[in-house]
Amino acid sequence: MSHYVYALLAEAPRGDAGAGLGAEPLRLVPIGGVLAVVGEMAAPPAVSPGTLQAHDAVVRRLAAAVDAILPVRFGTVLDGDTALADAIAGRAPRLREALALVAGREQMTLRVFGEAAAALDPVSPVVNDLGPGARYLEDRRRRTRREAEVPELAPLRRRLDPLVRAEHSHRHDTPPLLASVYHLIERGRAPAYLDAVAAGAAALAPTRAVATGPWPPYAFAPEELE
Amino acid sequence: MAARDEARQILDRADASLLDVVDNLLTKGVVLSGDVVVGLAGVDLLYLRLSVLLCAADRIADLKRP
Repeated sequence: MSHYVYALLAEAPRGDAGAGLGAEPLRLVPIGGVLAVVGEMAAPPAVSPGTLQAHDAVVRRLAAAVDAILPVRFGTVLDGDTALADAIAGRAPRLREALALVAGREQMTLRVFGEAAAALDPVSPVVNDLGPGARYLEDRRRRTRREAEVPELAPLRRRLDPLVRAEHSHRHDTPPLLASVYHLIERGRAPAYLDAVAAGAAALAPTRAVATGPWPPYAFAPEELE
Repeated sequence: MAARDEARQILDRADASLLDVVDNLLTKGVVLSGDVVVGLAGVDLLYLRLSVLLCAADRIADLKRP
């Protein structure tokens, strides 16, 4: 049997951990100050709307029973306790930091739609007194930062900033979908967040933002693990 | 139906929830292992079904690399 991993926790859930997407009992495995929530499966689940929603339901149920949760990517199967420990132990300090960030918080997602992307400032050329390696890395850093910019949302910032504790974003530039923006907010503030988006809709026009959530903090996994 | 109209309608319907579930579960979350079992063909089918490409295909394809 292999471990199918659902999430990482800072502490045990209030009440029973319950069952996984295949009705298998869930088990908590402590590693380096992190608790991995695993179920035993002979084979990993196939990708389908049903299995994705079942996995999400398990993560949501766990999220409701703890203050801090880091969802694990769908389909993560590890072969026994040793493989699980190997995958987590070396990363435990960073995972504990991430758990502290998401504690008491949840994710809202904004899809930004428009006919065309807003003009972005051009990426300025990297100065020539850097070596070729440093120049390459600096150019990548600038382009990565640019890919996360969503200037279309500027009219909403004044309303959202008081609610947002952390943000990740990803440009698509495939009209009508221009960008996805993930916000970490305090739990219970989703209605205020949705109100803020609705109140700023007129100022955003013709750009349109569709907010969904609250979600477990899927988008706030430590990036360097990816 | 134009793709943009279809995408807009999907986002206005309950499918928006599934759309977010796909995005969250297949392209977000802690990556613990290179053995994440996600069939690229299956993902493509989901996206076709949802008629909107939410996340960069290269992020999913990365999971298939050893």
